[in-house]
Amino acid sequence: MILNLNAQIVWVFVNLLVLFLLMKKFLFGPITKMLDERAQGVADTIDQADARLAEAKQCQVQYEQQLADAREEAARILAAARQRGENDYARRMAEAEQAVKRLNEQAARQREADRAAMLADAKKQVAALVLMTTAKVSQHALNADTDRALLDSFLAEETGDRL
Amino acid sequence: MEAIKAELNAQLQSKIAFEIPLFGGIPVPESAVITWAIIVLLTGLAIWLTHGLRKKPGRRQMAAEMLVGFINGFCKDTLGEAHWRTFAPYLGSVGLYLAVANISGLFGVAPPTKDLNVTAGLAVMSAVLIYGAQFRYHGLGGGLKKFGQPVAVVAPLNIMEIGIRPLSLCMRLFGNIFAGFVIMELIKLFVPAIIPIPFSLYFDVFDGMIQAVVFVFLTTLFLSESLE
Repeated sequence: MILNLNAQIVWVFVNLLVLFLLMKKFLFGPITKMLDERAQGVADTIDQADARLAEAKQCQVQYEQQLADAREEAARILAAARQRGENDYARRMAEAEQAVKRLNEQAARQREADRAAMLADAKKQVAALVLMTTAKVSQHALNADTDRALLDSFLAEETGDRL
Repeated sequence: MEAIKAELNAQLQSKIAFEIPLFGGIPVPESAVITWAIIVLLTGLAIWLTHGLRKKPGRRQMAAEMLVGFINGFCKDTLGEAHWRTFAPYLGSVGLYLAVANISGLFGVAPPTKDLNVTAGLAVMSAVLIYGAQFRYHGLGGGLKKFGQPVAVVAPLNIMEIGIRPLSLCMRLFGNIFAGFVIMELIKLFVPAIIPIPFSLYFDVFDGMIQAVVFVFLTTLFLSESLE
């Protein structure tokens, strides 16, 4: 029979199903799985690389931020130190000026006191001289207490404005 | 001339290889025995190609991956991302079977695809696959509606295609392989040596491959139509 189409067609169905199952089990199944796994692996690797890159960039930004912070801190500390130094300097200068002024004033006061003492001394001596001269002139000593008071008032009147 | 006719006629018969002595004898056709040999060959090849699979492939694994990758890629292009995984193994198996079956004439055995039962069986399986998928993925109502697309007028044609498609698949394959086989037998009867070689390369290898590709390609095409 050349054109035979009969019940033996069942053999074809059976054989094809058997071949299909065997091919699926031994060829298409494992190879497709392997291809999928590899594709997944490649995708994972790329994702991982992207993630690491992003992480590295973030780290860089962080480090740069830290560096900038540190520089700023250093500048601030330096500025603060300079400020403190200047304040110190100004304060000491002021103190020194104050001391100089005080010393000058003290010296002036001393001078003034010396002068006043000298003047009083001179006045006393002039008074004594006047007393002696007057005693010599009147030939008798003045009553010590009353005359000295009189003389003092007289001298005070004469010289008070100028001393 | 009469002798040649008788000889050719004898060659063209689809023979019964043996009978299984059960239930009063189950006949096993020659094509089934050759198909078993092809199954053993392909399975052995598959096991040899895929044993010890590794992430970094060797040459053996590379060849297997190229073959499967080609079939998967073809199915992915035609059937789409959603369905190719379901159908690629079957379509690939049929393709491999037909490729080996059609060139088996090269090794001096009658190609199983010369037996009308074989091509009819393949075509019926294709039809079952195509219309099975149509109802499986669109439901009963959706599957019936597919016959009225793109316009309701073509519904009778679409319904006739249920028979026409497997018939054309079956006859195209059978006719090509059978004709090739006849011509090869004739050539071999007249000139037994040397001359048959180029003809064999054409009718067995080239035409055989073309027919294997055409069968799988058309099945995939019809399948994608019923899936979309």
